[in-house]
Amino acid sequence: MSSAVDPATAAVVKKPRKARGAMRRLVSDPLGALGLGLIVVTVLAALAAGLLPHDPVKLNPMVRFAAPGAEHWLGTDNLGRDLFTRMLYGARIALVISIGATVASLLVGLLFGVLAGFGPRWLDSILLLLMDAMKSVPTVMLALVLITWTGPSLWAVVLVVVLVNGPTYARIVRTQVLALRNAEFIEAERALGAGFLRVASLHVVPNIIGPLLILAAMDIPIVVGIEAGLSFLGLGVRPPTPSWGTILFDGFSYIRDSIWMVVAGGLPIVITALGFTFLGEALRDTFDPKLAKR
Amino acid sequence: MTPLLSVRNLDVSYPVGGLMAKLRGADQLQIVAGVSFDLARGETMALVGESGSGKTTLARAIAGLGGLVSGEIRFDGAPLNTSGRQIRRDIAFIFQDAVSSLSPRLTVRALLREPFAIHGIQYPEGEVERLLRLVGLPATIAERRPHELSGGQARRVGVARALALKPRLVIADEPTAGLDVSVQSEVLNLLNDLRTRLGLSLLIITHNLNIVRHIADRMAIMYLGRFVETGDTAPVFAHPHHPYTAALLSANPIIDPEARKTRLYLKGEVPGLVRRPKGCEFHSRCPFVQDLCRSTPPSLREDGPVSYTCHFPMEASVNA
Amino acid sequence: MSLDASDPVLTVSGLTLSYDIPAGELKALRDVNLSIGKGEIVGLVGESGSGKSTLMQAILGLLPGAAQIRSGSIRFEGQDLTGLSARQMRGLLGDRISVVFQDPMTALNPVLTIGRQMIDIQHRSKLSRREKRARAIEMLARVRIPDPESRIDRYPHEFSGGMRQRVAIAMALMAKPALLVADEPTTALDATLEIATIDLLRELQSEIGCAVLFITHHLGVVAELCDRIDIMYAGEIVESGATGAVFQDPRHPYTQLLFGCDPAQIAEPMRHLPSIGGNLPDLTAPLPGCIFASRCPRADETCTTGHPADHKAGQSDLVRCHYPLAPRLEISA
Ligand SMILES: Nc1ncnc2c1ncn2[C@@H]1O[C@H](COP(=O)(O)OP(=O)(O)OP(=O)(O)O)[C@@H](O)[C@H]1O
Ligand SMILES: Nc1ncnc2c1ncn2[C@@H]1O[C@H](COP(=O)(O)OP(=O)(O)OP(=O)(O)O)[C@@H](O)[C@H]1O
Ligand code: SF4
Ligand SMILES: [Mg+2]
Ligand SMILES: [Mg+2]
Repeated sequence: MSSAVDPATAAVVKKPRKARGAMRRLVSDPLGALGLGLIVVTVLAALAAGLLPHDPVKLNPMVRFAAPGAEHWLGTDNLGRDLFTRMLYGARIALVISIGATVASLLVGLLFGVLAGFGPRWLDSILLLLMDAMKSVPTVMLALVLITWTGPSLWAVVLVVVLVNGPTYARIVRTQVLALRNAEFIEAERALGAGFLRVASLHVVPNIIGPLLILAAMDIPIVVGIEAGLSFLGLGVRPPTPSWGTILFDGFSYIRDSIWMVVAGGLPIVITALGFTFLGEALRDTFDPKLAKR
Repeated sequence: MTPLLSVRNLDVSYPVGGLMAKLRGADQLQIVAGVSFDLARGETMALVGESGSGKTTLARAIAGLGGLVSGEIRFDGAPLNTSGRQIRRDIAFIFQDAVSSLSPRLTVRALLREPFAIHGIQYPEGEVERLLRLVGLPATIAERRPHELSGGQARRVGVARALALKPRLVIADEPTAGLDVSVQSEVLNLLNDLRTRLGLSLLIITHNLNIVRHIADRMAIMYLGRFVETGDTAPVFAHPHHPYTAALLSANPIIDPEARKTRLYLKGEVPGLVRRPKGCEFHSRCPFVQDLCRSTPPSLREDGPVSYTCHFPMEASVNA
Repeated sequence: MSLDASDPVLTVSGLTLSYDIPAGELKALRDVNLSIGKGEIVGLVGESGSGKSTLMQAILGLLPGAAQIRSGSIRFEGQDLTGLSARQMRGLLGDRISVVFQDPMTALNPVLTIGRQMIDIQHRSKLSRREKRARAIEMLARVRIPDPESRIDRYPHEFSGGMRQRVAIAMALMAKPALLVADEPTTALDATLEIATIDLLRELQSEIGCAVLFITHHLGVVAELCDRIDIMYAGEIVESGATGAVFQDPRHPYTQLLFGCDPAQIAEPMRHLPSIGGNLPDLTAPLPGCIFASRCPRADETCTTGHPADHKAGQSDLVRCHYPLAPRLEISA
């Protein structure tokens, strides 16, 4: 009989857990603690960037390719800018873009998913078609087309991410809404006179957001990668803004003069990506009812 | 005085999916057929009948909660306006599945505040505690979530929610299922209190014939979406006319082994709604079926306070 | 494993369990003893919130994360279930032990058709998909779902409450288990179907010889179906014995008062029905002494200070009361 209880729906409908307890369990998981630690480091780095004495963009041709030392902890780049400073500023860009773009994708996904799930059949069909169409376009193609059109910028990167991830989230939301739509508690709320907005925001979204957040956490490293990749290709954040991708790109051009540029651009990408991946995995374990502590 | 609720010739159908159904022109499945009744202020009517006979469908249609409805429903003398908000305050609905009718992420406190919040009503101080006391739950339960309640506790939260806005008609779908007999008495006594104090009308759907006998003024027995018998409770129990009523009443599980012997068993398959039987719709399972039943639907007949649809009603002695 | 034919299928002994809740520790089960013999049907009744479903979840290893078994054991076919891993437990469920839940919607996935779910549940069987489907249809017909051939491709919300419940029963019985645990499976059924389901359960039960733990509030159903009855109050089993005997001569004051509230037993129609009065005690801080003392008309010093032991009294095998031999209590409406 156990297999008749679908774990996914059971998790959605039956067993909301206290956030506090979840946090405790998350931290007690070594992977989760490590992930959280790495993310905290990244965030602190982003916050601390402004405290540093060096300017991230001002050229200083006197000290090109300086080796790491007391003055420049990670050395300087081809234009004499302090690499450590640029790396920390890069964290700002990376976090703003990855989190901003992910939140935006989530919102877009929720909006269209709820509309499709709750709306009339025809609307559902149209939206579904749209989502699938979006998903079938390869990311790079999408990025190329869009950026040729708008020109490279931070916003273009966010837009690409939203167009890539939004439809995926929307599909997931739609499926969950369909499962909830006939649930008796939704009926009960309607019987009390609750309107669509209230039902959607208070009773539907809170019940489907959990799995979605986990997914989003696991998507963030990918977004960091997309940003770095696009910037690397010169399609993302424009120089001289210090994005990890641009640092990395420049680093490759001057790899024979100094390897520190590659380190300053590559290492943080690895750290952040690992941090969010670990956190996502741990989150999934925490919320997955099959693995929940009995 | 006009009855609080008046239902005439009510049909309720559900759309059925599938292209084939559409092509055949059979894209609607009629669940409730030709139901008429009145419910006076302060009256309690019990709706009993086969599972799947359409009791919930009928109740939901009356509360404007779904189904394709044709026929007439009047509330307080005026045609029922199902799209308005006022009806949600006037008619309260207690749902059949206790736990799954409570929004899973909300605490009991939030659940009990919902009705006030939805209607933008100033929320009285200590109301949650008062409502919980009303249904016999300790105040400590207010911070729990539905999955942390027992079935019976969830049921009582549902009752409290329904009563929060002082409705005029309470439609209760199995309000005591999952309650032990003592708590069941408390919930029924509570509904009965409100009925006498506030003149509330009650439409109670239940499978528990024991409580029908005690608390209902009138009862209606449903089979395949139709009322096969209606009338004052005591006479119906004393002398069921329709064979289905007789079978239903005699099937009530009882403690005394002696009393079980007079049971009237129904044979055959429960017919589907897709292919309703011709003639009397009960004929495929009726122990007393005759040729007439297979061909001609019986018309409504009356015997004092009881009306029924059967060609060959039961004798008074069978179950008295 | 050498098992004596007379050995019970299931023995719960000294089971104590609590839920972690914000207000502290809710002691939902305290020193619960229960045993079910081979092919025996045991009815479990009691106050709502007394821990019947919790006991059942403990047996099935389906307790929520907040629940913690403090002590005691649950032995099924000689094996202690409390020590099993989730994987071992899953191996038992749906094979040796089957379940029907109180709320049929929890057992049914709202986005899959009934047929799909009934086929999925036979994943252990080697039948072809077509044969599995045929078995599913046969089982649906057996629990009297009309038009089973077309119904099988419908979704759960298109079934009435009672039909959903019967589908859940059909699914539980497909595996031919040694123990069927059923939590209020007939609550949503009308009387004719309830009787039919009871008959069906009994028929299938004697056919496959499984034991049944049947949780219900319907005393009439217990009388008709069960060999033994166990009465639960606030986390303890307070009385246990052969069904007929306990109905005739209940020994625990709670049992006596509970039976007195049964509207079926009251001949004259009355608007105001009798109830026990008072509330379940606060299980986060149960007082010393008898758990029923705060509501018991017979309670005295002994009751409020000392926890009663399990006695044999009259024809009951277990009565957890200091005064099991006192004359019968009558309830006044
Ligand atoms: N949303 C729906 N779409 C299609 N058919 C439905 C829907 N809801 C219910 N039905 C069908 O309508 C019929 C009546 O169902 P209803 O829930 O009203 O029965 P009921 O009398 O309340 O039964 P029970 O006592 O078992 O709750 C059933 O055959 C059921 O399958
Ligand atoms: N997940 C949970 N967390 C905290 N408390 C719980 C949880 N589940 C149940 N409880 C509490 O444990 C007690 C026993 O609940 P249980 O569901 O076992 O009762 P029950 O006997 O099945 O009642 P009913 O007849 O009403 O279904 C109740 O007080 C209930 O509030
Ligand atoms: S021990 Fe005392 S309080 Fe408890 S049930 Fe017996 S008589 Fe009543
Ligand atoms: Mg119903
Ligand atoms: Mg229960």
